[in-house]
Amino acid sequence: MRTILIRRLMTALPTLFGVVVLSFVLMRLAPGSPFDAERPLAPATRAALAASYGLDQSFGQQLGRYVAGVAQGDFGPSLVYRDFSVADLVAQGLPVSLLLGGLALMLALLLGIGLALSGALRPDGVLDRIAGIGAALAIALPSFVTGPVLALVFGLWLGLLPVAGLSGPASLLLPVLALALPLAGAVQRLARAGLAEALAQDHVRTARARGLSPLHIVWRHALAPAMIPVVSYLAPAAAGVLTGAVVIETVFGLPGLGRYFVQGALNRDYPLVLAVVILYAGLILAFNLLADLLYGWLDPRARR
Amino acid sequence: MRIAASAIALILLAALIGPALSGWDYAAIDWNAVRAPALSDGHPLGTDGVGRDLLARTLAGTRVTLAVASAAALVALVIGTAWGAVAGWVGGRVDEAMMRLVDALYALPFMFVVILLMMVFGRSVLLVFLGIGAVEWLTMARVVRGQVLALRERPFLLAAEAAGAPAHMILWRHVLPNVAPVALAYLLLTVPQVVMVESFLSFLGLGVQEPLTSLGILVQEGAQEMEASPLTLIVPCAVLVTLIVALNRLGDGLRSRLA
Repeated sequence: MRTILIRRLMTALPTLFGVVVLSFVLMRLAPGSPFDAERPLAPATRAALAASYGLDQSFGQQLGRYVAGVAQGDFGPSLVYRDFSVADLVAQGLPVSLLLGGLALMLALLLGIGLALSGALRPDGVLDRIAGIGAALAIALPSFVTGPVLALVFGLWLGLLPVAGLSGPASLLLPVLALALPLAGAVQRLARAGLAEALAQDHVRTARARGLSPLHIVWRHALAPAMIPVVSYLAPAAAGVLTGAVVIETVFGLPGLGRYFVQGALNRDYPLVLAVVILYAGLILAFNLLADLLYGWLDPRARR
Repeated sequence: MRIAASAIALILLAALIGPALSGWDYAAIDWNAVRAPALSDGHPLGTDGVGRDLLARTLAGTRVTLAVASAAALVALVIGTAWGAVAGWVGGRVDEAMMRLVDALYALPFMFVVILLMMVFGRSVLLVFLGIGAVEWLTMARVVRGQVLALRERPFLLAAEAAGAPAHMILWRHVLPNVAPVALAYLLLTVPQVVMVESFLSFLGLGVQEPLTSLGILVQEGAQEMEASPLTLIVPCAVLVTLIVALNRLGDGLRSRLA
Protein backbone atom coordinates (compact mmCIF):
# COMPACT_ATOMS: atom_id res chain seq x y z
CA MET A 1 0.00 0.00 0.00
CA ARG A 2 2.71 2.43 1.03
CA THR A 3 4.83 1.64 -2.03
CA ILE A 4 1.85 2.26 -4.30
CA LEU A 5 1.32 5.62 -2.66
CA ILE A 6 4.96 6.58 -3.02
CA ARG A 7 5.09 5.42 -6.62
CA ARG A 8 1.97 7.45 -7.47
CA LEU A 9 3.40 10.52 -5.79
CA MET A 10 6.55 10.09 -7.86
CA THR A 11 4.49 10.52 -11.04
CA ALA A 12 2.02 13.07 -9.64
CA LEU A 13 4.61 15.59 -8.51
CA PRO A 14 6.47 15.81 -11.86
CA THR A 15 3.08 16.15 -13.60
CA LEU A 16 2.23 19.06 -11.34
CA PHE A 17 5.63 20.60 -11.99
CA GLY A 18 5.02 20.15 -15.72
CA VAL A 19 1.68 21.94 -15.42
CA VAL A 20 3.33 24.84 -13.62
CA VAL A 21 6.09 25.21 -16.22
CA LEU A 22 3.81 24.67 -19.22
CA SER A 23 1.17 27.16 -18.16
CA PHE A 24 3.86 29.69 -17.30
CA VAL A 25 5.41 29.33 -20.75
CA LEU A 26 2.00 29.63 -22.43
CA MET A 27 1.22 32.71 -20.44
CA ARG A 28 4.46 34.39 -21.48
CA LEU A 29 3.75 33.61 -25.14
CA ALA A 30 0.57 35.64 -24.94
CA PRO A 31 0.36 38.78 -27.01
CA GLY A 32 -0.90 41.88 -25.24
CA SER A 33 -0.25 42.93 -21.70
CA PRO A 34 -2.37 43.56 -18.60
CA PHE A 35 -1.27 47.18 -18.78
CA ASP A 36 -2.94 47.70 -22.17
CA ALA A 37 -5.54 50.34 -21.46
CA GLU A 38 -7.74 52.64 -23.49
CA ARG A 39 -5.19 55.41 -23.07
CA PRO A 40 -1.62 54.35 -23.89
CA LEU A 41 0.78 54.66 -20.95
CA ALA A 42 3.90 56.79 -21.16
CA PRO A 43 6.93 54.56 -21.93
CA ALA A 44 8.58 55.47 -18.63
CA THR A 45 5.45 54.51 -16.64
CA ARG A 46 5.24 51.28 -18.57
CA ALA A 47 8.85 50.41 -17.86
CA ALA A 48 8.40 51.22 -14.18
CA LEU A 49 5.32 49.00 -13.98
CA ALA A 50 7.11 46.15 -15.76
CA ALA A 51 10.08 46.50 -13.42
CA SER A 52 7.95 46.52 -10.29
CA TYR A 53 6.26 43.28 -11.37
CA GLY A 54 9.56 41.74 -12.45
CA LEU A 55 8.49 41.55 -16.10
CA ASP A 56 11.80 43.03 -17.32
CA GLN A 57 13.87 40.06 -16.22
CA SER A 58 14.94 37.22 -18.50
CA PHE A 59 12.49 34.41 -19.10
CA GLY A 60 14.52 31.90 -17.11
CA GLN A 61 14.77 34.22 -14.12
CA GLN A 62 11.02 34.85 -14.16
CA LEU A 63 10.26 31.13 -14.34
CA GLY A 64 12.68 30.30 -11.53
CA ARG A 65 11.28 33.02 -9.31
CA TYR A 66 7.73 31.92 -10.04
CA VAL A 67 8.32 28.22 -9.31
CA ALA A 68 10.16 29.09 -6.08
CA GLY A 69 7.25 31.32 -5.07
CA VAL A 70 4.60 28.70 -5.87
CA ALA A 71 6.47 26.14 -3.77
CA GLN A 72 6.03 28.53 -0.82
CA GLY A 73 2.38 29.29 -1.58
CA ASP A 74 3.15 32.69 -3.06
CA PHE A 75 1.51 33.19 -6.44
CA GLY A 76 2.53 36.82 -6.84
CA PRO A 77 0.38 39.93 -6.96
CA SER A 78 -2.80 40.12 -8.99
CA LEU A 79 -2.27 42.31 -12.01
CA VAL A 80 -5.86 43.53 -12.15
CA TYR A 81 -7.15 43.57 -8.58
CA ARG A 82 -4.54 46.01 -7.29
CA ASP A 83 -3.64 45.75 -3.61
CA PHE A 84 -4.55 42.06 -3.57
CA SER A 85 -2.11 39.21 -3.87
CA VAL A 86 -3.30 36.18 -5.80
CA ALA A 87 -3.01 34.16 -2.60
CA ASP A 88 -5.50 36.56 -0.96
CA LEU A 89 -8.00 36.14 -3.78
CA VAL A 90 -7.59 32.36 -3.70
CA ALA A 91 -8.06 32.35 0.07
CA GLN A 92 -11.33 34.27 -0.41
CA GLY A 93 -12.69 32.14 -3.21
CA LEU A 94 -11.48 28.66 -2.38
CA PRO A 95 -13.68 27.99 0.70
CA VAL A 96 -16.85 28.85 -1.24
CA SER A 97 -15.79 26.65 -4.15
CA LEU A 98 -14.77 23.77 -1.89
CA LEU A 99 -18.08 23.92 -0.04
CA LEU A 100 -20.06 24.02 -3.29
CA GLY A 101 -17.99 21.28 -4.95
CA GLY A 102 -17.85 19.06 -1.87
CA LEU A 103 -21.61 19.21 -1.33
CA ALA A 104 -22.26 18.56 -5.03
CA LEU A 105 -19.92 15.57 -5.08
CA MET A 106 -21.56 14.11 -1.98
CA LEU A 107 -25.06 14.67 -3.33
CA ALA A 108 -24.07 13.08 -6.66
CA LEU A 109 -22.63 10.00 -4.93
CA LEU A 110 -25.62 9.62 -2.59
CA LEU A 111 -28.18 10.10 -5.34
CA GLY A 112 -26.36 7.99 -7.93
CA ILE A 113 -25.47 5.07 -5.66
CA GLY A 114 -28.86 5.17 -3.93
CA LEU A 115 -30.77 4.97 -7.20
CA ALA A 116 -28.45 2.25 -8.49
CA LEU A 117 -28.96 0.21 -5.32
CA SER A 118 -32.74 0.46 -5.39
CA GLY A 119 -32.63 -0.40 -9.09
CA ALA A 120 -30.46 -3.46 -8.47
CA LEU A 121 -32.80 -4.70 -5.73
CA ARG A 122 -35.74 -4.53 -8.12
CA PRO A 123 -34.32 -4.80 -11.66
CA ASP A 124 -36.52 -3.34 -14.41
CA GLY A 125 -38.93 -1.97 -11.80
CA VAL A 126 -40.51 1.44 -12.24
CA LEU A 127 -37.85 3.19 -10.19
CA ASP A 128 -35.03 1.46 -12.07
CA ARG A 129 -36.42 2.57 -15.43
CA ILE A 130 -37.05 6.13 -14.34
CA ALA A 131 -33.53 6.29 -12.88
CA GLY A 132 -32.08 4.99 -16.16
CA ILE A 133 -33.86 7.57 -18.29
CA GLY A 134 -33.13 10.31 -15.77
CA ALA A 135 -29.44 9.42 -15.77
CA ALA A 136 -29.22 9.54 -19.58
CA LEU A 137 -30.88 12.95 -19.56
CA ALA A 138 -28.83 14.31 -16.67
CA ILE A 139 -25.58 13.35 -18.39
CA ALA A 140 -26.61 15.15 -21.57
CA LEU A 141 -27.63 18.34 -19.77
CA PRO A 142 -24.70 20.73 -19.42
CA SER A 143 -24.57 22.69 -16.16
CA PHE A 144 -24.91 26.02 -17.97
CA VAL A 145 -28.35 24.82 -19.10
CA THR A 146 -29.55 23.23 -15.84
CA GLY A 147 -28.35 26.19 -13.77
CA PRO A 148 -30.39 28.94 -15.45
CA VAL A 149 -33.39 26.64 -16.02
CA LEU A 150 -33.49 25.63 -12.33
CA ALA A 151 -33.17 29.29 -11.37
CA LEU A 152 -36.03 30.14 -13.75
CA VAL A 153 -38.38 27.44 -12.47
CA PHE A 154 -37.67 27.38 -8.73
CA GLY A 155 -36.49 30.94 -8.29
CA LEU A 156 -38.64 33.08 -10.57
CA TRP A 157 -41.73 31.03 -11.38
CA LEU A 158 -42.28 29.20 -8.10
CA GLY A 159 -40.46 31.78 -6.01
CA LEU A 160 -39.23 29.11 -3.60
CA LEU A 161 -35.49 29.69 -3.55
CA PRO A 162 -33.07 32.57 -3.96
CA VAL A 163 -31.47 32.73 -7.42
CA ALA A 164 -28.30 34.71 -6.74
CA GLY A 165 -25.82 35.55 -4.06
CA LEU A 166 -24.68 33.70 -0.97
CA SER A 167 -27.12 34.10 1.91
CA GLY A 168 -27.65 31.08 4.06
CA PRO A 169 -28.00 27.39 3.22
CA ALA A 170 -31.07 27.83 0.99
CA SER A 171 -29.06 29.84 -1.51
CA LEU A 172 -26.70 26.89 -2.01
CA LEU A 173 -29.48 24.43 -2.80
CA LEU A 174 -29.95 25.23 -6.51
CA PRO A 175 -26.23 25.61 -7.34
CA VAL A 176 -25.39 22.31 -5.63
CA LEU A 177 -28.25 20.54 -7.41
CA ALA A 178 -27.29 21.95 -10.82
CA LEU A 179 -23.69 20.93 -10.26
CA ALA A 180 -24.53 17.46 -8.95
CA LEU A 181 -27.06 16.36 -11.59
CA PRO A 182 -24.73 15.33 -14.45
CA LEU A 183 -22.38 13.58 -12.02
CA ALA A 184 -25.26 11.78 -10.32
CA GLY A 185 -26.32 10.49 -13.73
CA ALA A 186 -22.85 9.15 -14.49
CA VAL A 187 -22.49 7.60 -11.02
CA GLN A 188 -25.89 5.92 -11.31
CA ARG A 189 -24.90 4.36 -14.65
CA LEU A 190 -21.53 3.10 -13.41
CA ALA A 191 -22.87 1.81 -10.09
CA ARG A 192 -25.88 0.14 -11.72
CA ALA A 193 -23.70 -1.65 -14.30
CA GLY A 194 -21.21 -2.63 -11.58
CA LEU A 195 -23.97 -4.03 -9.38
CA ALA A 196 -25.48 -5.99 -12.26
CA GLU A 197 -22.11 -7.58 -12.93
CA ALA A 198 -21.37 -8.28 -9.27
CA LEU A 199 -24.80 -9.84 -8.72
CA ALA A 200 -24.22 -12.26 -11.60
CA GLN A 201 -21.18 -13.83 -9.84
CA ASP A 202 -21.15 -17.39 -8.56
CA HIS A 203 -20.67 -16.48 -4.92
CA VAL A 204 -23.77 -14.31 -5.06
CA ARG A 205 -25.75 -17.23 -6.46
CA THR A 206 -24.47 -19.33 -3.57
CA ALA A 207 -25.46 -16.65 -1.08
CA ARG A 208 -28.92 -16.57 -2.62
CA ALA A 209 -29.15 -20.37 -2.39
CA ARG A 210 -28.30 -20.09 1.31
CA GLY A 211 -31.46 -18.03 1.67
CA LEU A 212 -29.87 -14.70 2.59
CA SER A 213 -32.04 -11.65 2.14
CA PRO A 214 -31.49 -9.63 -1.09
CA LEU A 215 -30.57 -6.56 0.94
CA HIS A 216 -27.92 -8.49 2.87
CA ILE A 217 -26.51 -9.97 -0.35
CA VAL A 218 -26.19 -6.59 -2.03
CA TRP A 219 -24.73 -4.95 1.07
CA ARG A 220 -22.27 -7.69 2.00
CA HIS A 221 -21.27 -9.29 -1.30
CA ALA A 222 -22.00 -7.01 -4.24
CA LEU A 223 -21.53 -3.43 -3.09
CA ALA A 224 -17.74 -3.32 -2.67
CA PRO A 225 -16.80 -4.79 -6.07
CA ALA A 226 -19.55 -2.75 -7.75
CA MET A 227 -18.03 0.46 -6.41
CA ILE A 228 -14.74 0.01 -8.30
CA PRO A 229 -15.92 1.69 -11.53
CA VAL A 230 -17.45 4.49 -9.43
CA VAL A 231 -14.12 5.02 -7.67
CA SER A 232 -12.22 5.18 -10.93
CA TYR A 233 -14.70 7.85 -11.99
CA LEU A 234 -13.79 9.98 -8.96
CA ALA A 235 -10.97 11.93 -10.62
CA PRO A 236 -12.95 12.81 -13.77
CA ALA A 237 -15.87 13.67 -11.48
CA ALA A 238 -13.67 16.06 -9.52
CA ALA A 239 -12.62 17.67 -12.79
CA GLY A 240 -16.30 17.89 -13.76
CA VAL A 241 -17.20 19.56 -10.47
CA LEU A 242 -14.41 22.10 -10.89
CA THR A 243 -15.33 23.02 -14.48
CA GLY A 244 -19.03 23.00 -13.65
CA ALA A 245 -18.42 25.23 -10.66
CA VAL A 246 -16.93 27.87 -12.94
CA VAL A 247 -20.29 28.16 -14.73
CA ILE A 248 -22.49 27.67 -11.69
CA GLU A 249 -20.69 30.34 -9.68
CA THR A 250 -21.15 32.75 -12.58
CA VAL A 251 -24.83 31.89 -13.02
CA PHE A 252 -25.74 32.10 -9.33
CA GLY A 253 -23.38 34.95 -8.48
CA LEU A 254 -21.39 33.04 -5.86
CA PRO A 255 -18.02 34.53 -4.86
CA GLY A 256 -15.99 31.39 -5.56
CA LEU A 257 -12.70 30.63 -7.23
CA GLY A 258 -14.33 29.84 -10.58
CA ARG A 259 -15.60 33.38 -10.93
CA TYR A 260 -12.17 34.81 -10.26
CA PHE A 261 -10.86 32.41 -12.88
CA VAL A 262 -13.29 33.61 -15.56
CA GLN A 263 -12.75 37.23 -14.65
CA GLY A 264 -9.00 36.66 -14.69
CA ALA A 265 -9.14 35.00 -18.10
CA LEU A 266 -11.21 37.86 -19.51
CA ASN A 267 -8.88 40.47 -17.96
CA ARG A 268 -5.60 38.71 -18.82
CA ASP A 269 -4.72 38.55 -15.13
CA TYR A 270 -1.93 36.01 -15.70
CA PRO A 271 -0.88 35.26 -12.10
CA LEU A 272 -4.46 34.70 -11.00
CA VAL A 273 -5.31 32.33 -13.86
CA LEU A 274 -2.03 30.46 -13.44
CA ALA A 275 -2.69 29.99 -9.74
CA VAL A 276 -6.18 28.62 -10.33
CA VAL A 277 -4.99 26.22 -13.06
CA ILE A 278 -2.19 24.93 -10.82
CA LEU A 279 -4.54 24.58 -7.87
CA TYR A 280 -7.10 22.70 -9.94
CA ALA A 281 -4.47 20.41 -11.43
CA GLY A 282 -3.26 19.69 -7.90
CA LEU A 283 -6.78 18.92 -6.71
CA ILE A 284 -7.39 16.55 -9.61
CA LEU A 285 -4.10 14.75 -9.00
CA ALA A 286 -5.08 14.46 -5.32
CA PHE A 287 -8.36 12.85 -6.33
CA ASN A 288 -6.45 10.43 -8.55
CA LEU A 289 -4.38 9.44 -5.50
CA LEU A 290 -7.52 9.06 -3.40
CA ALA A 291 -9.03 6.82 -6.07
CA ASP A 292 -5.92 4.62 -6.03
CA LEU A 293 -6.12 4.26 -2.26
CA LEU A 294 -9.84 3.41 -2.34
CA TYR A 295 -9.08 0.86 -5.05
CA GLY A 296 -6.80 -1.05 -2.71
CA TRP A 297 -9.38 -0.88 0.04
CA LEU A 298 -12.22 -2.20 -2.15
CA ASP A 299 -10.30 -4.79 -4.15
CA PRO A 300 -7.77 -6.90 -2.21
CA ARG A 301 -6.12 -7.92 -5.50
CA ALA A 302 -4.99 -4.32 -6.09
CA ARG A 303 -3.13 -4.18 -2.76
CA ARG A 304 0.02 -5.86 -4.04
CA MET B 1 -31.78 5.77 -33.40
CA ARG B 2 -34.10 6.69 -36.24
CA ILE B 3 -35.70 9.43 -34.16
CA ALA B 4 -32.26 10.72 -33.22
CA ALA B 5 -31.14 10.75 -36.85
CA SER B 6 -34.28 12.61 -37.96
CA ALA B 7 -33.89 15.16 -35.17
CA ILE B 8 -30.30 15.81 -36.23
CA ALA B 9 -31.29 16.06 -39.89
CA LEU B 10 -34.05 18.51 -39.00
CA ILE B 11 -31.74 20.72 -36.94
CA LEU B 12 -29.08 20.59 -39.68
CA LEU B 13 -31.59 21.55 -42.35
CA ALA B 14 -33.01 24.36 -40.25
CA ALA B 15 -29.54 25.69 -39.51
CA LEU B 16 -28.55 25.54 -43.18
CA ILE B 17 -31.56 27.03 -44.93
CA GLY B 18 -33.48 28.54 -42.00
CA PRO B 19 -31.64 31.86 -41.79
CA ALA B 20 -32.45 32.54 -45.47
CA LEU B 21 -36.17 31.83 -44.95
CA SER B 22 -36.85 33.54 -41.64
CA GLY B 23 -36.91 37.07 -43.09
CA TRP B 24 -35.17 38.64 -40.09
CA ASP B 25 -31.45 39.19 -39.81
CA TYR B 26 -30.11 37.67 -36.59
CA ALA B 27 -28.33 40.88 -35.64
CA ALA B 28 -30.92 43.39 -36.85
CA ILE B 29 -32.79 45.31 -34.19
CA ASP B 30 -36.53 45.81 -34.48
CA TRP B 31 -37.04 48.96 -32.39
CA ASN B 32 -40.81 48.57 -32.48
CA ALA B 33 -40.77 45.13 -30.91
CA VAL B 34 -38.35 44.94 -27.99
CA ARG B 35 -39.07 41.89 -25.80
CA ALA B 36 -42.03 41.03 -28.03
CA PRO B 37 -43.90 37.87 -26.99
CA ALA B 38 -44.10 34.91 -29.36
CA LEU B 39 -46.23 35.21 -32.51
CA SER B 40 -46.32 38.98 -32.52
CA ASP B 41 -45.32 41.51 -35.20
CA GLY B 42 -44.09 38.75 -37.48
CA HIS B 43 -41.67 37.35 -34.87
CA PRO B 44 -42.64 33.66 -34.52
CA LEU B 45 -40.76 33.25 -31.22
CA GLY B 46 -40.73 36.88 -30.19
CA THR B 47 -37.64 39.02 -29.72
CA ASP B 48 -34.89 39.38 -27.13
CA GLY B 49 -34.06 42.26 -24.79
CA VAL B 50 -32.85 44.52 -27.58
CA GLY B 51 -35.46 43.57 -30.15
CA ARG B 52 -33.63 40.95 -32.20
CA ASP B 53 -35.70 38.11 -33.68
CA LEU B 54 -35.28 35.04 -31.46
CA LEU B 55 -35.95 32.48 -34.20
CA ALA B 56 -33.40 34.05 -36.52
CA ARG B 57 -30.87 34.23 -33.68
CA THR B 58 -31.41 30.63 -32.67
CA LEU B 59 -30.99 29.45 -36.28
CA ALA B 60 -27.83 31.51 -36.75
CA GLY B 61 -26.44 30.38 -33.39
CA THR B 62 -27.14 26.72 -34.18
CA ARG B 63 -25.33 27.16 -37.47
CA VAL B 64 -22.21 28.60 -35.81
CA THR B 65 -22.23 25.98 -33.05
CA LEU B 66 -22.54 23.16 -35.60
CA ALA B 67 -19.82 24.64 -37.80
CA VAL B 68 -17.39 25.01 -34.90
CA ALA B 69 -18.28 21.54 -33.61
CA SER B 70 -17.74 19.76 -36.92
CA ALA B 71 -14.48 21.58 -37.59
CA ALA B 72 -13.17 20.79 -34.10
CA ALA B 73 -14.28 17.17 -34.36
CA LEU B 74 -12.37 16.89 -37.65
CA VAL B 75 -9.24 18.31 -36.02
CA ALA B 76 -9.66 15.76 -33.23
CA LEU B 77 -10.17 12.99 -35.80
CA VAL B 78 -7.00 13.83 -37.70
CA ILE B 79 -4.73 14.21 -34.66
CA GLY B 80 -6.26 11.26 -32.81
CA THR B 81 -6.14 8.87 -35.75
CA ALA B 82 -2.57 9.77 -36.65
CA TRP B 83 -1.39 9.55 -33.04
CA GLY B 84 -3.19 6.29 -32.31
CA ALA B 85 -2.21 4.63 -35.59
CA VAL B 86 1.48 5.44 -35.18
CA ALA B 87 1.52 4.36 -31.52
CA GLY B 88 -0.29 1.11 -32.25
CA TRP B 89 1.77 0.33 -35.34
CA VAL B 90 5.27 1.15 -34.10
CA GLY B 91 4.60 -0.36 -30.68
CA GLY B 92 7.20 -0.94 -27.97
CA ARG B 93 8.84 2.03 -26.29
CA VAL B 94 7.35 4.57 -28.70
CA ASP B 95 3.85 3.26 -28.04
CA GLU B 96 4.50 3.37 -24.30
CA ALA B 97 5.75 6.96 -24.41
CA MET B 98 2.96 8.19 -26.69
CA MET B 99 0.20 6.63 -24.62
CA ARG B 100 1.80 7.87 -21.38
CA LEU B 101 1.47 11.37 -22.74
CA VAL B 102 -2.20 10.73 -23.54
CA ASP B 103 -2.74 9.46 -19.97
CA ALA B 104 -1.01 12.51 -18.53
CA LEU B 105 -3.13 14.85 -20.65
CA TYR B 106 -6.26 12.96 -19.59
CA ALA B 107 -5.47 13.75 -15.97
CA LEU B 108 -5.39 17.48 -16.67
CA PRO B 109 -8.40 19.72 -16.22
CA PHE B 110 -8.69 20.11 -19.98
CA MET B 111 -11.36 22.77 -19.90
CA PHE B 112 -8.89 25.01 -18.12
CA VAL B 113 -6.25 24.26 -20.70
CA VAL B 114 -8.67 25.37 -23.43
CA ILE B 115 -9.47 28.53 -21.51
CA LEU B 116 -5.75 29.13 -21.08
CA LEU B 117 -5.28 28.74 -24.83
CA MET B 118 -8.20 31.09 -25.55
CA MET B 119 -6.77 33.67 -23.20
CA VAL B 120 -3.24 33.41 -24.54
CA PHE B 121 -3.95 33.43 -28.25
CA GLY B 122 -6.94 35.70 -28.28
CA ARG B 123 -10.57 34.82 -28.74
CA SER B 124 -11.37 33.97 -32.32
CA VAL B 125 -13.65 31.35 -33.82
CA LEU B 126 -10.72 29.71 -35.58
CA LEU B 127 -8.88 29.25 -32.30
CA VAL B 128 -11.99 28.07 -30.53
CA PHE B 129 -12.19 25.02 -32.72
CA LEU B 130 -8.46 24.46 -33.03
CA GLY B 131 -8.18 24.62 -29.25
CA ILE B 132 -11.09 22.28 -28.64
CA GLY B 133 -9.92 19.86 -31.32
CA ALA B 134 -6.47 19.84 -29.78
CA VAL B 135 -7.80 18.52 -26.48
CA GLU B 136 -10.61 16.29 -27.73
CA TRP B 137 -8.38 13.90 -29.69
CA LEU B 138 -7.33 11.83 -26.69
CA THR B 139 -10.19 9.33 -26.72
CA MET B 140 -9.88 9.01 -30.47
CA ALA B 141 -6.17 8.18 -30.13
CA ARG B 142 -6.93 5.44 -27.59
CA VAL B 143 -9.68 3.90 -29.70
CA VAL B 144 -7.64 3.93 -32.90
CA ARG B 145 -4.59 2.49 -31.14
CA GLY B 146 -6.70 -0.39 -29.82
CA GLN B 147 -8.05 -1.06 -33.29
CA VAL B 148 -4.57 -0.99 -34.83
CA LEU B 149 -3.22 -3.37 -32.19
CA ALA B 150 -6.02 -5.82 -32.99
CA LEU B 151 -5.40 -5.42 -36.73
CA ARG B 152 -1.66 -6.05 -36.44
CA GLU B 153 -2.26 -9.74 -35.76
CA ARG B 154 -4.40 -10.25 -38.86
CA PRO B 155 -2.89 -12.39 -41.64
CA PHE B 156 -3.33 -9.86 -44.45
CA LEU B 157 -1.17 -7.38 -42.60
CA LEU B 158 1.49 -10.00 -41.94
CA ALA B 159 1.37 -10.78 -45.65
CA ALA B 160 1.75 -7.13 -46.59
CA GLU B 161 4.70 -6.81 -44.27
CA ALA B 162 6.27 -10.01 -45.57
CA ALA B 163 5.86 -8.70 -49.13
CA GLY B 164 8.05 -5.77 -48.10
CA ALA B 165 5.46 -2.99 -48.34
CA PRO B 166 6.73 0.21 -46.69
CA ALA B 167 5.12 1.16 -43.38
CA HIS B 168 3.38 4.32 -44.61
CA MET B 169 1.85 2.32 -47.45
CA ILE B 170 0.57 -0.38 -45.09
CA LEU B 171 -0.87 2.23 -42.74
CA TRP B 172 -2.58 4.11 -45.57
CA ARG B 173 -3.83 1.20 -47.67
CA HIS B 174 -4.52 -1.52 -45.14
CA VAL B 175 -4.83 -0.12 -41.65
CA LEU B 176 -6.70 3.12 -42.21
CA PRO B 177 -9.64 1.72 -44.19
CA ASN B 178 -10.20 -0.87 -41.46
CA VAL B 179 -10.01 1.66 -38.65
CA ALA B 180 -12.23 4.18 -40.41
CA PRO B 181 -15.72 2.87 -39.48
CA VAL B 182 -15.02 2.76 -35.74
CA ALA B 183 -13.21 6.09 -35.89
CA LEU B 184 -16.23 7.62 -37.63
CA ALA B 185 -18.60 6.30 -34.97
CA TYR B 186 -16.41 7.94 -32.33
CA LEU B 187 -16.30 11.07 -34.43
CA LEU B 188 -20.06 11.23 -34.05
CA LEU B 189 -19.65 10.89 -30.27
CA THR B 190 -16.98 13.60 -30.28
CA VAL B 191 -19.34 16.13 -31.86
CA PRO B 192 -21.69 16.44 -28.84
CA GLN B 193 -18.64 16.74 -26.57
CA VAL B 194 -17.36 19.58 -28.70
CA VAL B 195 -20.80 21.21 -28.81
CA MET B 196 -20.75 21.22 -25.01
CA VAL B 197 -17.24 22.66 -24.79
CA GLU B 198 -17.97 25.35 -27.37
CA SER B 199 -21.22 26.38 -25.66
CA PHE B 200 -19.46 26.34 -22.30
CA LEU B 201 -16.73 28.69 -23.54
CA SER B 202 -19.16 30.96 -25.36
CA PHE B 203 -21.40 31.04 -22.31
CA LEU B 204 -18.51 32.39 -20.26
CA GLY B 205 -17.65 34.93 -22.97
CA LEU B 206 -14.42 33.13 -23.85
CA GLY B 207 -15.52 31.43 -27.06
CA VAL B 208 -17.37 32.77 -30.08
CA GLN B 209 -17.52 36.57 -29.94
CA GLU B 210 -20.21 39.07 -30.92
CA PRO B 211 -21.43 39.96 -33.49
CA LEU B 212 -21.31 36.23 -34.26
CA THR B 213 -23.62 34.24 -32.08
CA SER B 214 -23.76 30.62 -30.93
CA LEU B 215 -26.03 28.49 -28.77
CA GLY B 216 -23.80 29.11 -25.75
CA ILE B 217 -24.05 32.89 -26.17
CA LEU B 218 -27.82 32.61 -26.61
CA VAL B 219 -28.18 30.58 -23.40
CA GLN B 220 -26.13 33.18 -21.59
CA GLU B 221 -28.22 36.05 -22.98
CA GLY B 222 -31.36 34.10 -22.14
CA ALA B 223 -30.19 33.66 -18.56
CA GLN B 224 -29.92 37.46 -18.30
CA GLU B 225 -33.34 37.99 -19.85
CA MET B 226 -35.27 35.09 -18.35
CA GLU B 227 -37.30 37.18 -15.95
CA ALA B 228 -38.79 39.34 -18.71
CA SER B 229 -38.92 36.81 -21.55
CA PRO B 230 -38.39 33.17 -20.51
CA LEU B 231 -38.50 32.02 -24.15
CA THR B 232 -35.06 33.55 -24.82
CA LEU B 233 -33.66 31.01 -22.33
CA ILE B 234 -35.90 28.05 -23.10
CA VAL B 235 -35.56 27.99 -26.90
CA PRO B 236 -31.75 27.82 -27.19
CA CYS B 237 -31.59 25.41 -24.22
CA ALA B 238 -34.10 23.11 -25.91
CA VAL B 239 -32.18 23.12 -29.21
CA LEU B 240 -28.88 22.50 -27.44
CA VAL B 241 -30.18 19.61 -25.34
CA THR B 242 -31.99 17.99 -28.28
CA LEU B 243 -28.82 18.22 -30.34
CA ILE B 244 -26.61 16.69 -27.63
CA VAL B 245 -29.03 13.89 -26.74
CA ALA B 246 -29.67 12.98 -30.39
CA LEU B 247 -25.98 12.98 -31.32
CA ASN B 248 -25.15 10.78 -28.31
CA ARG B 249 -27.92 8.34 -29.21
CA LEU B 250 -26.86 8.11 -32.83
CA GLY B 251 -23.18 7.70 -31.95
CA ASP B 252 -23.92 5.02 -29.35
CA GLY B 253 -26.16 3.18 -31.80
CA LEU B 254 -23.57 3.23 -34.57
CA ARG B 255 -20.79 2.14 -32.23
CA SER B 256 -22.68 -0.86 -30.88
CA ARG B 257 -23.68 -1.81 -34.41
CA LEU B 258 -20.04 -1.72 -35.57
CA ALA B 259 -18.46 -3.33 -32.52
